[in-house]
Amino acid sequence: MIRQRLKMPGLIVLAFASLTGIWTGCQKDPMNNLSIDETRLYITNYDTTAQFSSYKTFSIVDSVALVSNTQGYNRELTPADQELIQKIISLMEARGYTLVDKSQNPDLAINVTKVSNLYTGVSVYPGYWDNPLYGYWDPFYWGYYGYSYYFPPTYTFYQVSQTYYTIDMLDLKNAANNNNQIKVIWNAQIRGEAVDDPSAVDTEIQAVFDQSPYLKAS
Amino acid sequence: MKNIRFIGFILLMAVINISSFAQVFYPPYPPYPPRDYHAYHPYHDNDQYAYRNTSNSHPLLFSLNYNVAGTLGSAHDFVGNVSPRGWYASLLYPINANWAVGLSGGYQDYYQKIPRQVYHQPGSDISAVQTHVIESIPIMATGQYSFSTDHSLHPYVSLGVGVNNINYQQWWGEYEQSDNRWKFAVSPAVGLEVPFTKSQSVGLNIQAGYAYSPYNRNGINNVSNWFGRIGLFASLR
Repeated sequence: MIRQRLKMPGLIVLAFASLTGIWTGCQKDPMNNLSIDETRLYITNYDTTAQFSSYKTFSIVDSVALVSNTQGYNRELTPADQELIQKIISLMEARGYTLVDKSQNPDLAINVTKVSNLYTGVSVYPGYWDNPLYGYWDPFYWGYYGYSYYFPPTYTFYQVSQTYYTIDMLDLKNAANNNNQIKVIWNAQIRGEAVDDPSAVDTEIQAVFDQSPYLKAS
Repeated sequence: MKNIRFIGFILLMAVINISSFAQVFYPPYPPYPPRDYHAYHPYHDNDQYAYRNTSNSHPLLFSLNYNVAGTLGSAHDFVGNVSPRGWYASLLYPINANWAVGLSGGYQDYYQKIPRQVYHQPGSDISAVQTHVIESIPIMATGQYSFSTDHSLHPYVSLGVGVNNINYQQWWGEYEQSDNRWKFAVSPAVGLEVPFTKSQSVGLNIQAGYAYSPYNRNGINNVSNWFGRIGLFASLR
């Protein structure tokens, strides 16, 4: 009976109907089609009023501030962090800036922060630069007691929980004339998969400098 | 994805239902009456060898097709790659030898990956590999007019009017901005049925056409596309 009922057309139709399930499974998943490098996003923000050639010297932090909702206040210097700081120094020097010690009144200061939010929903964001609960580069580190950081509101941030690097370039030269605010004139964020992989940081820093041609001392 | 599984499930259920309803006494002699049996035998309504009700004399037509499509206009600027990932199915009730009406629906997945480049905004530069995706699930009331029913080839025209679920995705690296909306949809098409058997109950279906849905996001004015379909049709009885 069953055989009579299903006959040829019925069989064909059933076979095809079951195929529809396979077809929807053929949807191309964007995430599965990205290599690790392709997942990475390099965002640079800059103060459009800043004259980058008016600064000559810079100083950079000696380690990376770790801002984390699980590990709290910390500073670290992993091989990747070391590599990253070295790369920033060499590229800044290539753009004509001179590295000086922070005690020698540098025009520019560079903060490096790694934000690591492990739980969704409890994210330290934004304000990694100004959050007393977690680690950050206090203006006092640069000798500016009672100062706060100022980020222009036009800067782009992505609000997701993940490990990412953020690099802030501070205008120390004009800090005293800026209402006790240290203006962040350049900010770079490196986001995506495995951004703190030691073999990747070189490419990442190169990319953020390549897309910031205005960063030059002359 | 839930939508698609649901539609697939409904179609499958429809097919199983219809095939189990069809407890018909078939005449002992081949071939079975053609689809337009009553046109030739208008006085045989009480004949035990004749089909007993209209749904048997005009069995439902089911077709399932592989669908290839490409976007047009501003949607093409967003995702230009031709999409080979799609299917389209229809279930039509023939009201007479020429006209059939019913439901149709399907799925199409447009995808394009744009190599890494720097996107400039005032005061901001973003370097990213972008992935553009449009997923489309049209569900339409469909009318079909066949030009000839007694030859081995059945050319036809069809028009579908209904809704289209548009799932828009713009990925910056691994960060997704997406938008899902139901929109109006209209789709004219031309096609050809090539029956495999004399009874014309199963055969090849070829179709080509155009679909349009209004849409407005990130410079996309509408989601319109051309499509080509190839598949099988079968009379369900």
